[in-house]
Amino acid sequence: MLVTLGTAAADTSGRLTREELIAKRDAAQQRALRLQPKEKAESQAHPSQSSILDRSLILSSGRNWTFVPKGALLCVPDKFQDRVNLQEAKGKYVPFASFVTKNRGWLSTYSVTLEQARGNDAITDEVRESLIESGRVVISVCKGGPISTRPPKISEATAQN
Amino acid sequence: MNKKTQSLLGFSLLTSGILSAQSGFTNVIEMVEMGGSDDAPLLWNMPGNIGAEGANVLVGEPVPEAGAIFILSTIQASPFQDWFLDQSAVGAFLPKAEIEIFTHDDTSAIPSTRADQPIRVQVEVSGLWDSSSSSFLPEDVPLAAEEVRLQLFSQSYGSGETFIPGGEITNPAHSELVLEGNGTFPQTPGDLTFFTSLNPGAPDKARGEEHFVVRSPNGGGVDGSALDQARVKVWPVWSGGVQGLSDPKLIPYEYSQAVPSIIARLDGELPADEGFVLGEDEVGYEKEPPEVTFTWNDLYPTSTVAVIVNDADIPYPWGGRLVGGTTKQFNEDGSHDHVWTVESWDGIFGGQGRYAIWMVTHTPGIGWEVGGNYSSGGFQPGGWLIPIQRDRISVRASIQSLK
Repeated sequence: MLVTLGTAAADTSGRLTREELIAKRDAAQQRALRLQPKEKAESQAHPSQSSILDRSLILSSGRNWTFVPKGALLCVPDKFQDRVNLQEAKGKYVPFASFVTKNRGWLSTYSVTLEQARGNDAITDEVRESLIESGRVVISVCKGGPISTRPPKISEATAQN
Repeated sequence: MNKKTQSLLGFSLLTSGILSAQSGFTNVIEMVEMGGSDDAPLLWNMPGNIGAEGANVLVGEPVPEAGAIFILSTIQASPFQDWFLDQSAVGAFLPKAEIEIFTHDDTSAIPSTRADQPIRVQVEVSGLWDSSSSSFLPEDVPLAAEEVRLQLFSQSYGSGETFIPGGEITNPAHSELVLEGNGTFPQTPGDLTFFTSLNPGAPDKARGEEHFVVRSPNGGGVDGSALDQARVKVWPVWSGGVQGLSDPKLIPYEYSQAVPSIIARLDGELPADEGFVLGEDEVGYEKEPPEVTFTWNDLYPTSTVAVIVNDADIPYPWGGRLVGGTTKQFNEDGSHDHVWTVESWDGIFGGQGRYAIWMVTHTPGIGWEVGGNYSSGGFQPGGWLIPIQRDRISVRASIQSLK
């Protein structure tokens, strides 16, 4: 038979009762309210929930797939729309460089500088037109790695001066 | 040239998991460069192979004004899965933070606490905008340069688990606090002292982890963009029980051994247990006191237990006599139970009187405690008192509370 406890007069342990513990917890939470922000931070997920795919676009040939940063698509012909921006990866994952090699027929890259990617230096209209004329999906890369590109912040004329 | 653009981007990242060292895994570094108010973050999956030991990387490009975060992930190709490993921030006005956790237990490799103990968090923040050393006008200073956020996460362990599989904290932040400006927080003592939020209805039985994450208000859409993070393993408060004695119970036994040092005073008679009453004024005597089984539940991973017999008139066990074989020191991965049966008392009840039998437990940073039980209608501090009464040739045992 398990022994039940009676009332003890002397507190030799200093332990909190459950009720005391709940009261202390609630008091600490109440105190923390004073430090609450007006607006919460953009991210409420734990860092362990960070996935590279959250920041990426999926490209797939049907047999293989890879990912590139969002904003790295320079041009996408209509006939290849079903190979980009996929919600679900199809086939086997391969790293970007291998994917480009395997899919030269419909995919190519265009090297940009960091300043071009930032939008501080423009990618000229002539270049953009030639990329479109290539008829392939074009991914912007910097030093070989896929990179997003921002719209140019300055006019082409200013950039060329 | 602005001083910020004189520095070249460079950073170090460490692969912390064994995953990165295994075949079939590839390490990837992403650069996330914060944009202005109207710009999306610039995302760059950097070229090159990162070894299992991590890398020092010199990008060879100027540090952007808004700074950049470099995130190291490892990717498993088949089936595809990726894990965040480390990150580094570079920039002239990017905040940095270091979290330090203080609990009662300063002996464990991973910060740990018992569920009824406070968790004190200290955060060192630097790199935020400083009016005394910056030419920025206050209205131009982005929020992310003025303050950081301390987010609190918690997640219980699964049944029988002593860790969170994969370190995946799937619960969103349950609290968020603002830490404004550079310096050491809390700036008012007690502001960053918390008790576990796990198991809200019975927090004393919480079993899981509390996570503390410092991040900028705007992380560029990157959940992994933590400036620092720390965790605390939370273990329940122990409780216990005794089998072999009921309340009250007379357990007479013949006493024939030498009188040891612990002698308690006689304190009146207790009625004999029915099982030992042979007739009017006649009691059957046993050769030995009964076997008693002690059960400790939810012991702290690194704890020590013992059973002590002392004079019942002394309201604590200290100074009493340890019951042989009951002392045990643990160094477990998680909270655990322990059962011990005392088969022989070795003449520890040394004379007529009332004895208290105490279950005691030592927890790092808390010290020795006597028994208690949350599950029997509320914890009663002071623990157990199990008086054993004996006269010249008999010992009577009962279980009473400490009065």
